[in-house]
Amino acid sequence: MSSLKSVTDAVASVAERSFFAFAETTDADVPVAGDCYEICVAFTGAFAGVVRIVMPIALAHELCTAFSGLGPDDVIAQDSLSDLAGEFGNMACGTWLTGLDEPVCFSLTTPVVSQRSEPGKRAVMLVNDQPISVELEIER
Amino acid sequence: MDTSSPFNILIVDDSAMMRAMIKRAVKLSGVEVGTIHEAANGQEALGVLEAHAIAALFTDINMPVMTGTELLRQMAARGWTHIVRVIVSTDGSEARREEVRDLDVRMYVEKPFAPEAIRDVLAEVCH
Repeated sequence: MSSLKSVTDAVASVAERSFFAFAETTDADVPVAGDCYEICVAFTGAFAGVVRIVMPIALAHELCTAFSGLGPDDVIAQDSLSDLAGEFGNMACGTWLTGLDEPVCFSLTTPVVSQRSEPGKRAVMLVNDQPISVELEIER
Repeated sequence: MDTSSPFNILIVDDSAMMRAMIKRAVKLSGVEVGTIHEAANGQEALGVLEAHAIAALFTDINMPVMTGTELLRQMAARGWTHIVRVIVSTDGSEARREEVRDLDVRMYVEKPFAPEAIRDVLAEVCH
C-alpha cells in the first residue's frame, strides 16, 4: 500500500506534466476555502479505497485553460470545467496506483465531481500558489 | 461503410475534455488523417466501428458501460484485426499491460502525456 505522500507526489506530477502548473507541498496552515470542487475517485484492485481532492474552482479554471490551450479570457462551460477536474483526479489516482507496481490491475470508477463551499479544509499542497487538499481513504 | 477517408481515427474516452485534448494533439501532429470520430465508452465505440471504416483506435481503459479492455475483446471476437489499437490510459501498470498483451495492442500511451507522444504514435502506426 502507500502513504498520502505518494498520492500528493502523483497529484504534483500530473499538475506539472499535463497542466503546466507549478506544484509544491506545504506544511503551512493554509486552508482551502470558498467555492471548490471536490473530486472523488474510487478504486478497487489489490486493495480498495478513495482518493479525494478539493481545489478552488478558480484553480480548476486555470488548469482547464492550460490543458485546453485556451486564453485566460475564454469562456469555459461548467460541464467542461467539472469534466476536466474529474480527469485531473483520474490521472492523479491512476498515476499513483501505477507507481505502486502491484501485481493485480486496479479499476477506477468515473470521478465524482461536486461543487461546494469549503469551510476551510487544511491544504497539503499548493498548485500555482493555490491550496489543494488531498485525502486517501483505504477501505480494506 | 464510410471509405472516403484514408486514415480515420476513433478516440474513446469518457472524458470529453480528454477526447478534445487527444483530437488537438492529432491535429497538431502534422500527420494527415481523415475523419476523427469520438465515443464515450466501449459500447458507443462498437457502434462507430460498425458504421465507419476506422484505421486506428485510441482508447482509454477505465470507462463506464464498457471498459477499454472489454472493447478490445469484442473487437478480437469480431475479427477486426486490421484496426490499429492504441491504449491511452492513466493505468500503465505491468499488470494491465499483461492483461491486454494478447489483444493486438500496438502501442500504449500513459496519461498524462505530452502532445508529442500522440505525434510519435501516429508516425509509427501510419506506416
